[in-house]
Amino acid sequence: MSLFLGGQAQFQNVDPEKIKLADIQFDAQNLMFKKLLSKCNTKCIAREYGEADLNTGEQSCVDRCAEKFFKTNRLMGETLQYNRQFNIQKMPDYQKVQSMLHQPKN
Amino acid sequence: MDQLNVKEQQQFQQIVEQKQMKDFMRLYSNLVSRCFDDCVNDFTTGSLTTKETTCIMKCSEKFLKHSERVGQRFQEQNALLMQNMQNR
Repeated sequence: MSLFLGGQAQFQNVDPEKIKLADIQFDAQNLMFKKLLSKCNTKCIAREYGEADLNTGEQSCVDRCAEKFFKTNRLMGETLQYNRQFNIQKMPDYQKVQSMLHQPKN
Repeated sequence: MDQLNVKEQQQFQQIVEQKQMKDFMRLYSNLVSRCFDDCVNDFTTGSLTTKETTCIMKCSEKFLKHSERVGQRFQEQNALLMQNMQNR
């Protein structure tokens, strides 16, 4: 960034909608990570502390746990997307997010 | 998120930093309560015994290693997911 004229940021406009979208995306990812962390902890990690490392069983459990959590997530998404009672396609906010995601980069 | 311009990125960065701070505090208090539950059960003395201290150290280290591993798997699975979404 050039010191002269304060750099390019000076000339850029802030679009609050875009920040909101980034915020929503961040929250979605963050929530998913937190869930994954706590789920796989309760399911895989023994609550005794003979050693500080994860043992082999716990390691492979965690790996499979993460994979299955994502697969469950995907399956749920596919199932709900075509569910008539839970019609996410018609929700105004969903349409807005989708249109913003698919608009060409400037 | 890559569609944000520099100024928007700066604003978004501030939001993210606040969230990270909040998350860290929550993680910290969860870790304290978990390791306290699992390691401290004897109240005949007010100070932590040697056994309790080593247990707490190992508990926290194990938790951090678990987080690290889950973080790696999360990134891998997430990359896969993005790939699948783009191919559709």
